[in-house]
Amino acid sequence: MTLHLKDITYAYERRRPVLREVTVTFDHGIHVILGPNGSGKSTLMRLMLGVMPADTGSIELNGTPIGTVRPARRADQLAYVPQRSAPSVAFTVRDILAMSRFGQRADTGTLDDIIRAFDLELLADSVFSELSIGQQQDVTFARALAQLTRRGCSEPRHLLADEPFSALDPAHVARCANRLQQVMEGDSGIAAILILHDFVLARRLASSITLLNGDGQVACNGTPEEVLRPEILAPVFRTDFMRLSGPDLDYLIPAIKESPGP
Amino acid sequence: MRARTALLLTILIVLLLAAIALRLIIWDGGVDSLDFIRAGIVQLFGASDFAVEGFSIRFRLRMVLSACLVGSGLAISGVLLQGLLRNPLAAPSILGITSGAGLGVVLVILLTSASTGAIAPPGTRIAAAIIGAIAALVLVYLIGQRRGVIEPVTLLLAGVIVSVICGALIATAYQFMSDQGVAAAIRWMMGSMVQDVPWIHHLAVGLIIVIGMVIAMRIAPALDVITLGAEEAHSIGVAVPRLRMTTFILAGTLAGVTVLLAGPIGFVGLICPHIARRLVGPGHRTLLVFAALLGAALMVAADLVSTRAAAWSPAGQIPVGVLMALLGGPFFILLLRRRPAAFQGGGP
Repeated sequence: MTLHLKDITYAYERRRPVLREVTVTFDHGIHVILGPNGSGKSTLMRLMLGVMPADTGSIELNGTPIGTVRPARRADQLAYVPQRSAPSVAFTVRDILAMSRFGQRADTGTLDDIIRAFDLELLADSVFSELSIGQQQDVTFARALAQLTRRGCSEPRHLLADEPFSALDPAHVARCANRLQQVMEGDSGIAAILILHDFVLARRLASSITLLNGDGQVACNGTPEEVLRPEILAPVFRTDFMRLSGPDLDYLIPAIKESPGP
Repeated sequence: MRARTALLLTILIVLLLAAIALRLIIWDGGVDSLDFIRAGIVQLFGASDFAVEGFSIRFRLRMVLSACLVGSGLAISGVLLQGLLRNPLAAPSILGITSGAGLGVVLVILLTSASTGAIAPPGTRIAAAIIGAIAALVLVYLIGQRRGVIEPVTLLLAGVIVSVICGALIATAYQFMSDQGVAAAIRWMMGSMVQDVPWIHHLAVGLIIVIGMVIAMRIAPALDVITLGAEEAHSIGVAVPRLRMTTFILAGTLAGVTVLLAGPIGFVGLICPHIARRLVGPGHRTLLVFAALLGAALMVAADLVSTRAAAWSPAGQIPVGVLMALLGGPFFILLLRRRPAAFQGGGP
């Protein structure tokens, strides 16, 4: 029992469903959701967060329908990292991290521990919105992971992230991804579900991949080796892929013609 | 509480008390003579035989209390709205709350006088102000959102339009009033401290603001979190729909009832949250306290200036709402120019 989706259908407009009969279970490890733009990945994540109810089907968080889990309990078991967090006012990094203890009494000691655990001492008193996007995302990951490690919750917990690396430079992609893996290694009760567009990242991070097609259906569900194949990806993305392989690597990237050069 | 915050709080309270003290001794005729002040003190402590003609310290205290309540009610409402809607331009007057409340009051006064010939009882007027305020705010919200996602520009435009419509409906209602009533009503609609407020209104508004402030302090941590956006706030454990409803009812009620004491006053609810945020940062607990005190001080000071200025005006009256608009209009434009990003961010 962890995050279990069964026959999920959702339509923003009548008769134009963006998701059709999606059934998938997320348990241990890092799961990656891939799919073309408009395939309903973000909608699926909003449904998993319980922001809105699905039209049909059920989503269960550790055995309980997501819509009936009380907010505080849900926040113990489910955290969220958006593509970019944008507070409307000038909160400091410390303020943002303190939000991981929302609804709880948190002393400054706890907060200092979080800041230290995530190596954010240098940024702690900076205003979040004045940081670089990479630093911001680093803080947002810390906030979400700190939320999942509070209270010593013994049930499986889930980090949901919607294209968390899309706006980051390579250094921050590495930092955030490594941080995630590191926390998950130290705490086997945490699973991560990431929406990504980068097949190389997906290949490196994922223990399983769910591929959605343009009609909002599950096109393929399996290990990275099973899903990341040209014959599976090409019809879904409607483009060709090429292999990038060497002695220790085997990646797929979109087939783009090389620039003829100067 | 940090030392800086404590110091600022002390300064603010001193400023407020100074404004109140000045207001008590400066009235239409300029600074009172010592006789008046002595008379005031004597009156206050019950020796009613010491009287100076046309002078009542109780009346002045009530007017000052009015100004404090109006200022803090509007400022608290502004903090709540700017936090919830993630919009620095949100304010009770801009989102149609004050004109909605005004319309509610005018309508019940008109309807009661048409059906019974009497003026609407105080309780009815309070209820009408609250219902009018919340109805206008809900209407603005419904126009300004799509599927629960707020479109900032649409929301502000909806506020402007609802305000204009309420204003027009009030003007239409004037057609059914006596000339004398219209003159008073027009002055009221421009935002001026009402002089013959029934004491029950002071009591009710005071109580509403105190209770409202307590609830506001309780939801303050959730308001902090919702500045990240609705989805993140939801994931952190905020019950977003409930917070939205509580805040709307609270912001509507707090700003709505101020209309009973002073008519619709603009910009206090916009300016005070910004100044307070500059002083103590964005955390809503401290922000609410500072904005409330600032609102009270600003309103007392503006009322003082408007009565003094009135001494030079041929009409003998410059509504405090007009003064506020002269002050707040440029401030609003400044915000608009400085923070174009405010229009780009999504709402909850």
